[in-house]
Amino acid sequence: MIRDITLGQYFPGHSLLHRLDPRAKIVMTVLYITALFLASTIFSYLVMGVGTFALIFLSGVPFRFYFKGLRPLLLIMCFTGILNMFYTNGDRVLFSFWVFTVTLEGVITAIFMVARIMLMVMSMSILTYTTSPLLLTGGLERLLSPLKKIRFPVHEFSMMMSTALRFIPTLLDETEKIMNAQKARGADFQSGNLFRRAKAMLPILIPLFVSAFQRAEELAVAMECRCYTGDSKGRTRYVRYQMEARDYVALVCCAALIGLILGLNQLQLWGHV
Amino acid sequence: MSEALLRASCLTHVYSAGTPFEKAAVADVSFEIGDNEFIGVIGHTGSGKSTLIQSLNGLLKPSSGQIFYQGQDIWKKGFSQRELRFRVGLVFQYPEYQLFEETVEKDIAFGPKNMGLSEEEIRQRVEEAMYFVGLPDRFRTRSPFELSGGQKRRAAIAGIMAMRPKVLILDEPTAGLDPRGCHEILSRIREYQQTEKITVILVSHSMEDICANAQKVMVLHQAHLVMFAPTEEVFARAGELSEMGLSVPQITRVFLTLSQKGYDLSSVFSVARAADEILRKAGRPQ
Amino acid sequence: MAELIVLILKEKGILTLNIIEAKGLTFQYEENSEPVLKQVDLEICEGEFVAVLGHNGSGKSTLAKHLNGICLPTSGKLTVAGISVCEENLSQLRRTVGMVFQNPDNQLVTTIVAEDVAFALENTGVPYEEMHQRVAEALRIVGMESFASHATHQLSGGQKQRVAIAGVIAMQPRILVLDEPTAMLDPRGRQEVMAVIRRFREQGMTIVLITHFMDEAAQADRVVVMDDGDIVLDGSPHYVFQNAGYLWSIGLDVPQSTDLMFRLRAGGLKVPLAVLTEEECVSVVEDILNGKVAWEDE
Repeated sequence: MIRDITLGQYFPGHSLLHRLDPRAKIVMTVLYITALFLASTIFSYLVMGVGTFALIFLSGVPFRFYFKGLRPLLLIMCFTGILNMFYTNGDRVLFSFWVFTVTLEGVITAIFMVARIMLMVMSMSILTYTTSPLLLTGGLERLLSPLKKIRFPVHEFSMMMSTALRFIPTLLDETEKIMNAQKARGADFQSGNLFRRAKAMLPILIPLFVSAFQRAEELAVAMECRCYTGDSKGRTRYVRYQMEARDYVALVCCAALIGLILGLNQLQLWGHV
Repeated sequence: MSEALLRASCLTHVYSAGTPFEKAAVADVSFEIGDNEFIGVIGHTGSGKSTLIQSLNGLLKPSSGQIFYQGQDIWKKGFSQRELRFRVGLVFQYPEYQLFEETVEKDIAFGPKNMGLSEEEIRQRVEEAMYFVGLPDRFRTRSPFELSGGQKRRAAIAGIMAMRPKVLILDEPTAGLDPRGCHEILSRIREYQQTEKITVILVSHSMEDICANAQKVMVLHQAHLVMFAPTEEVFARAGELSEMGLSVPQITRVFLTLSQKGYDLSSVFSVARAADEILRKAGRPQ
Repeated sequence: MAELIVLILKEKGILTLNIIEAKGLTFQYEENSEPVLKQVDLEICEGEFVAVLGHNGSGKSTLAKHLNGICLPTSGKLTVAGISVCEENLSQLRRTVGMVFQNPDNQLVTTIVAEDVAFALENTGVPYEEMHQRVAEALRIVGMESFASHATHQLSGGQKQRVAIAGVIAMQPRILVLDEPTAMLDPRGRQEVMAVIRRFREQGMTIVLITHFMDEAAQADRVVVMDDGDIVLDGSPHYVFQNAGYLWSIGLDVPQSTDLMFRLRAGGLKVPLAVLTEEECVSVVEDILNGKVAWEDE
C-alpha cells in the first residue's frame, strides 16, 4: 500500500533521458507542464499523451512504475473527475437525475482534467526516475542560484530536498514495520468512522515522528563529522554540469511543443471547451 | 489424536508473483509446534524467517498452503486473524520503535485494551507483564521515551506478554544489546515460558543464545525448512550448518575441527557440555 | 636538531608518538550531573588497533565522541594527532578523525553510493579529478566498487556500513573511529565490516573500535575496558580476557574458548587461561587429549 508511492524515487540507468543535464530536464519539465496546462482540445491532449508515452519509453524505466506512481492519486483523480463532470455547464445534456445534470461538455472536461493530472504526475515521475536526487537538487540549486542575491537560502533549500528524498524509502519501510507491529497488538486501522480511524493512526504516527527526529539528529551529527558546514566557500561538486548539444536540442523541442499545442488549440473541430 | 498448537502445511509465500522479480520467500514448509515448547529459528537474512513468523500470526497471507491454530485453518472464512494475533504474540525486531503512549503502563495496556478486557483485568495484566520482563513498578507512570534502550525493549516485550498469548514469537529480541542486557532478557523469557507454560519461538542470529535456550531448532535455508529437530541433533550436524554459511558457536567449531583431526568427541553446543566432555575424556583422576 | 632526533627515533621504532592522548578527561552533560567520563587517562600510539569494551552506559561511546569533538571535554585535556580537542579546532579535527556510527541508515546522506562517498570531499573542496579518483579508491578498499552507481537504500546492512566507511576513508583521515559499527548487522554483515577493518589495520591506520562483541575485540592489538566512566582494564586481548571473573562481574563476557579454559581449570586441569581464538583452543584441547596437560594436584 505505502510502497506504491514511487514519486521521488530514482531508477539508475543510462538512457538518453538519464544522460541529459539536470538543469535542462528541470526546465523541460516546467515547459512540458506549461504545455499541458495550455492544452485544450482533444488533439493537443493526444499530442501530449503520445509525447509522454514516448518519453516514458525513452526513459527505459518500466511502464508499470509510472502506473504505480499514479495509484496513490487515484482518489484525487476520481474526485476531480466527478466534480468537473457535475459542475461544468453546457447545452448538450446527456442525462440528468435529481439536481444533477451531466452534459457532454462536463464529461469531456472531466476526462481532460483527469488526463491532465495523470500526464503531469507522469512527466514529473520521468524527471525523478531518470535524475538522481543529488543531480536534481544540484541542478535546482544552480538554476535558482540567482536568487542568492536576494538572500534566498538556495543551498539549504536544495539540501533539505535531497535529504527528504533520501529518507523517503527508509521512512516508508519504517511505517510498514510499525503498522505491522501495532497490528500484532490488535490495532485496527480499517473499521470505525473517520474520527476513529484517524485516532487509530496515532500509534503509527507517534513512533514514526520519534524515529524521524532521532534519524535527523544522527544524520546531522554524521554530516558534521564529514565536514559539512553548510554552503561554505570552496565547496566542490562530485557531479559536473555541462550543457551539451543534446540538451539544447531537447529544450528547443519542448519550446516547440508549446507552440504546437497553441496551434492545435486553434483547431476547433470537436469538444473545444 | 489432539491437534497441534500450530501447524503449517505446505506453506508457500511468493513475492511479486507473475513478475520477473518473482521470488519465493518461503517454499513448501510444513511443521507442527506443540504446547509449552521453546523453539529456536535460525537462518540467514533472506532465508524466509521473517516471512514465516509473520505468516504464523496472520499478518501475511500465504500464497498457498495452510496454517492451523489449534486445528483451525487461520484463513478459513469466519476465522478472525485479529483474534489470532492475541493468541500468537509477535515481538518484532527493535520493538522499542513501536512505543507510543504517554506512560509505560498505557503502552503495555494497548494490546489488552484492543482485546476489550475490563480495566481491572488490564491493570492486573500490565502488572504481571512488567514483573515478567523485570521492570520495577515505579516505571509504570513514566514516559516510555525516558527509558534506556534495554528498558524500552522490555516495555515493548511486556506489551505483547500482557495479551497472554499461547505462543510468543520474538524476532531478534537481543539485537544491539550489551552482553548483560542480552542475558537478562533471555533468562526472563525462559522463566516466563516455564511459569506460564506457553510456547516460545525465538528467531536469532546468535547461535549461542539459541543453544542456551531452545529445546528444538528450525533451520531455514533459501526459503526451505531444512532441519527441525531437537537442539542436540541439529548441532550434531554442525558441519552442514557451516556449509550453509551459518556461524555455529565457537565451541562447536572447535569440537568439529578436533573430530576432523580424528579425535573421538561428541558434538557439543555449550561451553559447560564441552568442559564436561573434555574432562571425561582426559580421565579426571579419582 | 631536536626535531631530527625525534624523527630518527620514530623511524627506528624506538620512540612512538601517541596519536591520541587523554589526561584527566572528564565529561558531564550538565553541571551537577553525574559525569559520564571520570578522569580518563588514555594513550594510543599511531597505527594501533584498539577495541573499547564496556556495557551500555559505561562511557565508551562518549569517549569515542570526544575523539573528533562531537563532545567536548568538560575538564581535562585531550589531544588527537597533535590537535587539542576544542571548539576552535573542530574543522581540522574532523578531517583527521573519521567517524563511523552504529546505524548505517542514519549516516548515508545521499541516495547514490558514489555520491555519498564524495560528500565529505565536496565539503572540503577537493578538486573534481582528485575527488573522482579518491571516491573510486575508497570504494575499492571496502569492496563496493561495483555498486558505485547503485541506490543506497537497496543495499544490505553490511554493504551500507561499508559505504559509510568508504565515505569516511575518502577524507584520508589518520584515525578511524567506529562506534559499534556492527551492532545492527547480521553475522554476514559483521564479517564484511570486520574484514574491512582488518584491511585498514594492515595498512597501518590507527583504529578505535567501540564494540560489545567479544570476538571482535579479540581481533584487536589492544583492548580497553570501560566501566562507570573510567578505564578499568587495558592491555592485549590475551591479558584482558584472562580476567574473565572481573569481566563477568561488570556485565561483559569472554570468548567461548576462554570460558572453556576457565571451566577446565575449575575442573582441575592446569590449562593456560590466555586462550582466545579457535586455533589456540584446538591446540590446547589436543594437548589435553594427548595427556600433555597436568592435573592440579599431581
